[in-house]
Amino acid sequence: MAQLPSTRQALATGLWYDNAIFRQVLGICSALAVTNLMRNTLVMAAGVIYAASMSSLTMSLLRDATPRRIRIMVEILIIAFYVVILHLFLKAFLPEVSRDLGPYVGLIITNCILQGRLEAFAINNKPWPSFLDGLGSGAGYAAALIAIALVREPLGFGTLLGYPVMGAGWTRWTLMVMPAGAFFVLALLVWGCRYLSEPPQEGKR
Amino acid sequence: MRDRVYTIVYMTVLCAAATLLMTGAKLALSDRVTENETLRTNRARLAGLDLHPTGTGAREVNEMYEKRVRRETRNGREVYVAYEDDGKTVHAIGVFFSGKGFWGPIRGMISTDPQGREIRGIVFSDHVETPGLGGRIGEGWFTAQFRGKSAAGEGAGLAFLPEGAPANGPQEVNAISGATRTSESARTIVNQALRDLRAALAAPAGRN
Repeated sequence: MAQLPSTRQALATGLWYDNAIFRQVLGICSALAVTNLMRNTLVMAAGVIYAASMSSLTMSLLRDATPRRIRIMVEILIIAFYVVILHLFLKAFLPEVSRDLGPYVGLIITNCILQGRLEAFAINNKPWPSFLDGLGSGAGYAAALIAIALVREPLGFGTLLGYPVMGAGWTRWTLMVMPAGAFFVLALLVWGCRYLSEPPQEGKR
Repeated sequence: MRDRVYTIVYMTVLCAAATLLMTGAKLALSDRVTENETLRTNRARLAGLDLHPTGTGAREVNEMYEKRVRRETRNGREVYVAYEDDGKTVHAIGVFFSGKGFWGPIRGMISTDPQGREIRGIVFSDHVETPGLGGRIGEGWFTAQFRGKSAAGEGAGLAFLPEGAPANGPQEVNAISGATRTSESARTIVNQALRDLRAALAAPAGRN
């Protein structure tokens, strides 16, 4: 806990070694819900990166002033604050995406990744490393979501970011549009990433 | 004791600060949010009334709506009347509709010519159907096929044929494949809306 990770380490941890989605299997609900269109996925991913890094930073700044026994309340308050701001921003500047994402922006508040990082890292560490930790976790979540959307949108709609990519005669895979499709893609992603990362990890530990 | 007082004061201050900032952000953005809502509503109503602004910009849409659309009462029913450029000739008369979809309510507007003979425009502006399946009721190809179809409601009214089948009859449109329940809901809602619209236009009063 005491040693400070370098910028690169913090990001690599979040993106790969402790990736929230395929390592810790957190934040799955939204990963299933918003990944059938790349546009919504990108906005959601950016939103989580922002909320995770800013709330980690804020929690870290307040860590010495916050009494331990009310820390959970404070964590929720901080996360909720940033998410509400994000929600307002989307409603004002990206109304269509905001309508598409529906309740899922608000549900970032209950995203286990965010509170997990505040509780596990930001509350005991200095602001800059905490910010990077949140940024890395958010980026890991974002990368996993984008990977899932990269499969679901082309197979489900025949498009990517709305542009046709599968040719005119493409038969849409209805399953990929439905949340159930995300389970399959997610499972394959978890399997693939663990297969790639596990052998060297076992040697080290 | 001091600990407890500190805890309460700390949480109160934190909550107050967060509330203040959120309220500030909400107030600062509320005009924009309202504008977005108005634009969305106006755009949807224009589409439902078969009026097509030259651009998609807020000004074109809102100006056209202000100039060409009026809310009127026919037979005690609220209707939206779209006028031609001259401001006198009626282009289309529409009503709001709403009904049960597969996942939740479906709302929108449908319009016919002033005599209620054929459909002019339709829009499904609010729904929570599955994106890519039932959600396609919001797409242009689906709504465009209603234009020119009979609004007379003979027999069972509009019939929905399987997607891809030729739907050339005056009361035939294509359903959405993979979204049977949404299509059925849409058919029920549209036929009911046409009944409402005919009732509004039927009596001699208010004709022009």
